Amino acid sequence: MTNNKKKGDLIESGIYKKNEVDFPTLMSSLKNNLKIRNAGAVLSFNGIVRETSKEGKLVKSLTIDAYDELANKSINQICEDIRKIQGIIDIKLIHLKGKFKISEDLVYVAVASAHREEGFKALRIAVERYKKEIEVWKREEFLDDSAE
Amino acid sequence: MLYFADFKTITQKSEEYFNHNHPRNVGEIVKILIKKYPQLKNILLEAKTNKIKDTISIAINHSIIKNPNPRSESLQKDDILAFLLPISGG
Repeated sequence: MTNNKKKGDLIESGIYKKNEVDFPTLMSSLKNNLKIRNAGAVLSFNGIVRETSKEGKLVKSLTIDAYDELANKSINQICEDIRKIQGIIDIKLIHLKGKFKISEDLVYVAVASAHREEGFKALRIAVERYKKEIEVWKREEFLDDSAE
Repeated sequence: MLYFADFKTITQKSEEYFNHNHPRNVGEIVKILIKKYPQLKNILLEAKTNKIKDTISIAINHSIIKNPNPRSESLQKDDILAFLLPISGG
């Protein structure tokens, strides 16, 4: 049984099942933080499924698997580090798991900052870090019925 | 054992219990796994040396271990073990 989050719910950063959280709900949660009053900017990144793999093969679907316990630790560490950057008010980092079609959402990162300059930088750092550090794996299923 | 990614695909399981004569170290678990799931050999071990590949991370009780000789890492009853492929997120 899914436990889909709604606007107004507190969304913690971490791993969620597909459709458990959406972007508007995440943004609503970010803005529920009282400290948001100190923010002049909210920057966001949304990772989605591309129709071609890095090698150029046509993708039919993409499955994300996650080691929740480790991935959540890693996500929380990234968020803790980002919050220490001067001018950063808050960050939310969500990675979804499950089976996804082309263009469906996989990742949400949202950073609230006092000014846009540090916000852009922090967002970039967060995205580059989650790509390397969180314990998730993707499996692309291709139109020719192969997978890797 | 917890299985993720290709380990899950090959074993067709997300977890498995080894209750009887529990393996005393990672090396023993590797032998048991490869005997039960021969396809795991190519994923886990270097072809020439049979060492666990450097690209494989090993987690025990939800923490990554750092042991230059991972096969020797000892295991206790009820330990939770996972072999992890290189990360590839969305």
